[in-house]
Amino acid sequence: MKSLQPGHWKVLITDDQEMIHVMIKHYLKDYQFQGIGLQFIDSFSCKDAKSLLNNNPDIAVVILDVMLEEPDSGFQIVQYIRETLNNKLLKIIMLTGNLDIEKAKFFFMTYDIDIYCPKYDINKIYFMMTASLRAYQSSYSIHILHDELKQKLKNQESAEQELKELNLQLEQMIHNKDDQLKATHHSLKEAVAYARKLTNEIESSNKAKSQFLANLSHEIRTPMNGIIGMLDLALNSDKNTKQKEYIALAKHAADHMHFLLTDILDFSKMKTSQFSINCSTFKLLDVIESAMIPLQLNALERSIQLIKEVAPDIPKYLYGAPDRLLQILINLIKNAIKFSECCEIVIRVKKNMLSPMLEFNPDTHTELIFSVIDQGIGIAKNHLESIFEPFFQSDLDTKGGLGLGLSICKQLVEMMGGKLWAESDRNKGSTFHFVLTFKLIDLNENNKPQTNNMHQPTEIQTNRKPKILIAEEHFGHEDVCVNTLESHGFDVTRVYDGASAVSSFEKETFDLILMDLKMSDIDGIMATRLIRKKEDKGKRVPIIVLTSKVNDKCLDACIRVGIDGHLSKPIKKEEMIRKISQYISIPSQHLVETKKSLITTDIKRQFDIHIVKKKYHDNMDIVIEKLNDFIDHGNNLIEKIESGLVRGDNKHGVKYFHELMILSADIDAKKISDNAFRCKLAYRKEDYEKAKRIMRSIKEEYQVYAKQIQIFLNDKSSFCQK
Amino acid sequence: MKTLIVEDDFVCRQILKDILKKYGDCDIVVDGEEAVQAFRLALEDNEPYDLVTMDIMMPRMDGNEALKLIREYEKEMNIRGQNEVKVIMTTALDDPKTVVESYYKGGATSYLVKPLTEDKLLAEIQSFGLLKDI
Repeated sequence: MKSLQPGHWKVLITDDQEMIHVMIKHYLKDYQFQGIGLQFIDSFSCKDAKSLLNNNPDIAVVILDVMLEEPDSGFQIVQYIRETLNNKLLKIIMLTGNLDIEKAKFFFMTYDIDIYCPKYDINKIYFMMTASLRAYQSSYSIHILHDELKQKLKNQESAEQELKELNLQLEQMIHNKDDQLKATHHSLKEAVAYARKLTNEIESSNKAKSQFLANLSHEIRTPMNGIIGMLDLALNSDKNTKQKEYIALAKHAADHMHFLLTDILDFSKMKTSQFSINCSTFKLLDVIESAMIPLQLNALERSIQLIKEVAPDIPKYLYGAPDRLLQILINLIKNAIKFSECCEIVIRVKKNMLSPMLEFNPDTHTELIFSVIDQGIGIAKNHLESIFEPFFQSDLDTKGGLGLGLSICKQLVEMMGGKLWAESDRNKGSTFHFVLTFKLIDLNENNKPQTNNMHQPTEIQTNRKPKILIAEEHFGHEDVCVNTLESHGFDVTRVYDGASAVSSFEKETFDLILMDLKMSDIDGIMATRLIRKKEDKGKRVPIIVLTSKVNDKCLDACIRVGIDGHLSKPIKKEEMIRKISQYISIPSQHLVETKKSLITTDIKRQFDIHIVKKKYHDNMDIVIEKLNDFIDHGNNLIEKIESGLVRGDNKHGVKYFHELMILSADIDAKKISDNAFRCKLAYRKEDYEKAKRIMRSIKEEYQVYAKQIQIFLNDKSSFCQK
Repeated sequence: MKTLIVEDDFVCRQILKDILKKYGDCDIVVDGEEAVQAFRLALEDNEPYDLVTMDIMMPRMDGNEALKLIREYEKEMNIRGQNEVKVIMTTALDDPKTVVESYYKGGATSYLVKPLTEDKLLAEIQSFGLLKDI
């Protein structure tokens, strides 16, 4: 608590009698309260007292005579102190001269006076002063305390007020924020919906666009190829210098345009979903060679030699995406040729043993680093990254193209999980490296995989039916497989588990085995492994597994144990036959019958109604219609052709021969249709003499057929009439 | 040198014909089916082709299919090795897969990327030993 420690206790004596002042001072001469003395201020009138009180707010005690100028001056001063100055602290000792005790009682009660002292008791002023000062001090303390409390309260109040205000502000802010959030949320929602809609639209329109581009560039490229070829022919024919110059320029422009189209086509293909990466077993050297072959001539034109350097320790066969690898190599070599002249371009492949970039098991995978090294103009350091961006053109690139080739390569390599980068020295050449990982194929003689690319169907001795072993647990597949195979002329042996498959294989020789991959005793993989072990050197029966699901891991295992192919369940007849035909020839070629007819040599000179009837499934209405067509239109066509030949007007000859070909093929008059085709070829090269020769034999044949058909038709109608 | 030109595009046909007719008889067909038929008839007439230029993308029957049938027919007729017809697949390099397919599986002798020019074509034919002096 703050205590009051003034230098003196200030005491105001107000009395009109000098004597009282002297007496009081005398009695309190050495007075000290709590070690502090008194300081007296003297006043003799009401007016004096008021001004002194006003100037000394720290007065502790006032000794006041009631009667001064006026009988109640003392009370005026009391009023002044308590009400005007609002001083409730200082203590008032009231003095009276003549004792009117009742009056004193009244004043004492009415006014805020602390001690009453009759002048005759002035000797007791010592006690009164002490009492007054003690009261003053405690009042003062309370006052201070009160002030402090008040201050604190005030502080608290203002703090509360502030808090309230802050709260209010916060609330306001939160409210605003809430509104804002709501609005934001709403607009976000709208934006998301809009974006989704846009994405869908863009996606489908992009797809359509890419598809359109792919179609368009193909369609444009065909006539473009024509233009370039024609210009090339024109360039090589006899023309004067000016014309040659013009044609050379036109060809240059056409070449450039062709370049653009190729880039656009590749790029748009990458953007359409049809773009896929198909894996198969392939021979690395074949892929590298087929990348070089189509570019060999482009290279020669610029006196460039293409050289391949394939490290000897690289396995011959790999499992990966050969077509995509080919595409990358073609693009990179094409790029190298574009920027080089009179030098070598090396295509180098080696194992990336020292610092493998991709994480694969070295026992099952191999990481190869391909490098296409040229000695061309090179690439500026600051362009080494940006050359892979679509549509990038180096400032020195005046060679045309859209700058899509490298971007396509990079995307392809990355899609296959690899890396592509470039190194270059300006004017010394550039090297493009890419790293790809391929699965290894187990390659001892017996397990050499039948790659898709290398396979030729095995010829089967014609004196016996080819034998197929089918191992399949479930009965559902049985009918489909067995019936279809038998109807195609196979000798089918049916077993129901893996062990029986292996033991059947030991007993008999089969040309092909179809095997369920999942069998309860030993599965297809295990059975294959056993069969391959028991197989004689040099003989190898193709094994095709039947599976409902194929994943990479499973396929990997299949290839490793020497399974040649797989068929997905449920098995489709056509698919099965097609698959089998990749390994052994099909005895009865139902499927390729129509195509085979193209190369069949068995030609009858005679009209054979049975063949025609069979052709139209014994539908006599159609047969008669076709026969009539042959007689009516055939004759008409031959007349038209002949008169054309006489007049030298052979404009429609090819068309007439085509129609004649179809008419005669319809009734199996193969000789006529073949000859009509011969004439067609002769017409195309304007060899009308040859056509005339063939026409003679066509006419002869036609008459024979027409006669026989007429007889048949007459019989038929007379038969009907009967 | 007798040549069969298999090409569905008119201009392309014309170019091939203009280049090749200088070196012998040229027949022209417009799709794979015609190609196989023409090939068979030429053998029947005992005037086989020395060279076939085969477009890959064609209507009805594409070049790969036709090539396969031609090789099958040769096998049937016991024509093997050096006597097999030389087949140059002509392609727009649209799809490397079809190229790979015809080159390995189909038994094409070679393939050329369009646009075809006289130099390209003759250099390739010369490499087969079909033309001695050009």
